Amino acid sequence: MKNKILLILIFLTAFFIRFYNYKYPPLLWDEAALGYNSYSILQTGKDEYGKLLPLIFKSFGDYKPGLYVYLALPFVKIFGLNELSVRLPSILIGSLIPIFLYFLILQINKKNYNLALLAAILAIFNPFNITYSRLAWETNILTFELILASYLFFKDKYFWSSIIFASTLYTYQGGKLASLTLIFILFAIKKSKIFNLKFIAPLFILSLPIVFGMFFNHESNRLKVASIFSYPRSPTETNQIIAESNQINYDIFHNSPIFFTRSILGRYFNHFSPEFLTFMGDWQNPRHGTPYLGVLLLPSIFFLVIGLFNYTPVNFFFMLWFLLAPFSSALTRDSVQATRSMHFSIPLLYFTAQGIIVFLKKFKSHITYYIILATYLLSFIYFLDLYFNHMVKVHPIEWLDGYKESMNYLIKQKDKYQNITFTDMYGQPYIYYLFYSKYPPSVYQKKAILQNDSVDTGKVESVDNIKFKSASFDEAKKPSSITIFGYDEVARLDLKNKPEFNKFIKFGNFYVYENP
Amino acid sequence: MKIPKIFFILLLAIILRFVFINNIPNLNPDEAALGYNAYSLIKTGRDEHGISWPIHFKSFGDYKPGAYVYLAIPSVKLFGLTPFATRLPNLILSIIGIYYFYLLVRLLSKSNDLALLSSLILTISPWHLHFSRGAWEASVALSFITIGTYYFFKDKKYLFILFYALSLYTYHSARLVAPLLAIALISFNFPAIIRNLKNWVLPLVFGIAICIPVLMSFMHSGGTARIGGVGLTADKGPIARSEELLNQHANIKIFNRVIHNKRTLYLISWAQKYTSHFNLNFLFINGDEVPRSKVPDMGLLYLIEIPLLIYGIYKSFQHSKALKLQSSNALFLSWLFIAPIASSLTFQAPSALRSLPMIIPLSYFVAYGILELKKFKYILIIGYLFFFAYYLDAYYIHYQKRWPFAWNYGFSKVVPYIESQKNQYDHIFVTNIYDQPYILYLFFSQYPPQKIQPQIKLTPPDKFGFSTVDQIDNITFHLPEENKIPSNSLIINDKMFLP
Repeated sequence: MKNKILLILIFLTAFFIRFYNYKYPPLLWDEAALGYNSYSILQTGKDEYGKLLPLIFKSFGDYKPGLYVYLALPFVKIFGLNELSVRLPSILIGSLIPIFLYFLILQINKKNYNLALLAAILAIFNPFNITYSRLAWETNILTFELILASYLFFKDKYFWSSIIFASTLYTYQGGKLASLTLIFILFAIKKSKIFNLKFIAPLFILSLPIVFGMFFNHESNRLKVASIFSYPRSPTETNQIIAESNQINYDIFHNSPIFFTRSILGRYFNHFSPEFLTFMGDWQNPRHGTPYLGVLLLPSIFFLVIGLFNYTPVNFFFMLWFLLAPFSSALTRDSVQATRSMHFSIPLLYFTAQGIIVFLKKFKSHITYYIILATYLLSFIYFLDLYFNHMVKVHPIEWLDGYKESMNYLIKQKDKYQNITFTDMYGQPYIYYLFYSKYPPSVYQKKAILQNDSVDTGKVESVDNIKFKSASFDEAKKPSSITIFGYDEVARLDLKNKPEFNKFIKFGNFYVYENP
Repeated sequence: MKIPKIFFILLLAIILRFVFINNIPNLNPDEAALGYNAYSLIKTGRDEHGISWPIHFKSFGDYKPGAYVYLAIPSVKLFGLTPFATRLPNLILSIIGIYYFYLLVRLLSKSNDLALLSSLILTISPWHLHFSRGAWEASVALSFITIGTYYFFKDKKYLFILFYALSLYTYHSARLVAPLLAIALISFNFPAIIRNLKNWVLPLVFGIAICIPVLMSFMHSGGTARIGGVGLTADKGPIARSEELLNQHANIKIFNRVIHNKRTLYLISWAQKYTSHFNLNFLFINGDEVPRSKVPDMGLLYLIEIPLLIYGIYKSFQHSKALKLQSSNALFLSWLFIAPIASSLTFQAPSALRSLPMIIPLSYFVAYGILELKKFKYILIIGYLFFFAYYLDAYYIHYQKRWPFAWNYGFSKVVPYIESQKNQYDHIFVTNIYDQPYILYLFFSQYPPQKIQPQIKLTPPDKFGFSTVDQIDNITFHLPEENKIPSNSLIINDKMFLP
């Protein structure tokens, strides 16, 4: 009974932190796309391109696995199309992660009650988990599924475990590699149980469509873009090395297997670096975390090291997870990638909790207890301040500040103008237009055209008379025009020194210019 | 008579450190300064700035601790002013350091195998090799610390204190690492020391006495000048960030002032710098960022040593719980955590040079791991042979060609030419893109010290606190502006910048 109240408390605390001020930070492209497709399914049964109940959504040409869209259906139905309904699936599932982590740890070892509880509590307050649970990130769902599937597996419910593993393939692009990693780990632990028909059969059958897509379809292209093996050593570098020595020397010491091993290991180690864990987080993409802070709270790195070096065979499952998780992102082009490696947060939490317990055992006293509590509290407040007060202000462009406000303004004003241009500087403006105007999906489906743009995504050039392209001031000065410029365009076109600049209305990164 | 195995390891150490030592790598300005000041002392009893027998050498305004210069006097006297003679003290002392490391591990662990293996790993370690091949004070200081630690456990108090004190006279970073390590040593043996307190009184008095000159130097600007230039606060990032974050609050409360305080941010920045020394990318893949402190395409240790190191530390944890080998594990573990402290207090971290003392515990734990993983003996031997060959290739073949500027490649060849032309031109201009070219000129031309002392004039220090010399006789060490070249001039520029 006491336990149940505790778990409910954990859930509610986690939910509160994830739900609080849910409109912050601004909606990202992928979130808007997931929401709008959900809306579209709800209204017409088809996605934005008119495809009936797809498993994989074309969206920006990045072919999103569709589970999230379907998870959002009931919320879009109840709350309408807005930030809340898009983010609620992630918020709820993210709040369940601490609880199921607790169950998983207890399932592996019944004696680990304290550890399970502590890991669950840490999961509530961990920046890595909070940042990904507050927004509609598919990887957050994946992390939950991996915990759930492992839990069911250890509970000997192979059929259900298999179903959940299979569902990861429909959750997130990175799910394939992550699930494979987890299944490999379970195989290493319980060899015989994997070859159970109850486990193999559902997984095999349910993964067929995905495997088919990987080899024969659009998806192979995306795989190629992301894979590290598409980026060999540059010819200049090769020539430089050969010029320093000779071809034979190059073949022995600088050949491409050695080159790729070094690059993969470098990326792999980046995920264990103090910079990633504690001080900077994902330094390649500010959207993947809080500025000036890593994926863990500051004191965690200390306890993590203690926890790791106090490894005992009971921790085998989590140790393997710890060691293998970063391969989900080390095999891609990015030098470090928090989104792909989000499930890495689980073993990190586990060993941090273990470190705290070992430390408390070694230095048994109330003072130690309070010191740990105080440092964690301070560093959590530090995180909250950086997250809520600084994150968007430090990187306004990356956080797409102002899309909502400028788009709402445009929707209000657009009927007064004939020439309407919205900058495509910050990517996929059309989806924000559809999202915030609640554009009727049945109408849009008939005219949806995605132009090929870059290798992995495309763009929509117009919806009705609204053109999405780079804005020019000459066109903006034509009569009956409304033009929305991006911050970078204003700087590049030197608009601040134009006499008309005082008529510009600013929304975050966007500047609206109207010429009746 | 049976030859002890350590003899072969030392032989290997000698070969690896002496081969091609005159040319690979080329002499850099810091080394040249040490050698030339020794030369100047031999000839005139004064350093290049005309100061007689200093403790700190003013050099480029960085006030180098003087022990290395004095150590170099015999070899420069014997072999003349050459790169080899300048480097000889470090070559010898680094090899002695390896021997004492062997003695230390054997003494503490009572295991000859572990001691042999540890010293072998140190002998072939790219990190240790790099800094023992050159006049690096850091390496000499590390040897002194290793020797001193051995004498501490041998209960030779005077020798312990003497060698620790010597390290203070050798290298800046040692002034933090050596005292911290001494505190750790004393705290391990605290009960024993308390019992014998009266035996420690005289050695302590001796220690304080021989440290007085160093302590005195902290009082005047010389000893502390460098801290301002390269210390933690030389990095202005936290100050800018503090302002940025405070400006983002509409109304600033006391609480905001505390968490965005620049001291708070400097503390976090220090923690980041400290932990960055344990980044596996730094240790195993990329090494230092400074080309002069790294070998291309590799880290500071061999890749194959990752599992050995981690397993070694893990096993030593387990064994320490069982009280096996406890004293050596505890010593090297605290050594590992103390070693990067000095380096983390500088603006540029991680630094392979300033955290060099880490290599001692790292070698120990790698050796520890190897002994635990003996069953993979043949895989390990093959792996080591491959990575050792990889290192030799990177160091001897690729290094100088990849970053010729890092070691002032070719300067030794241009000096004789300058000498031959000196009297035929009114003005000679030499590029200054390579740090302090003047000292290389003095070194390779064996410029008479009594002639430089009256005319030497340092330029104002740059932001790191380093200066150089702009003018010697008719040679100017920077390039003239293009349209202001005086008649009858000779200009010496780098290949990269030829029109």
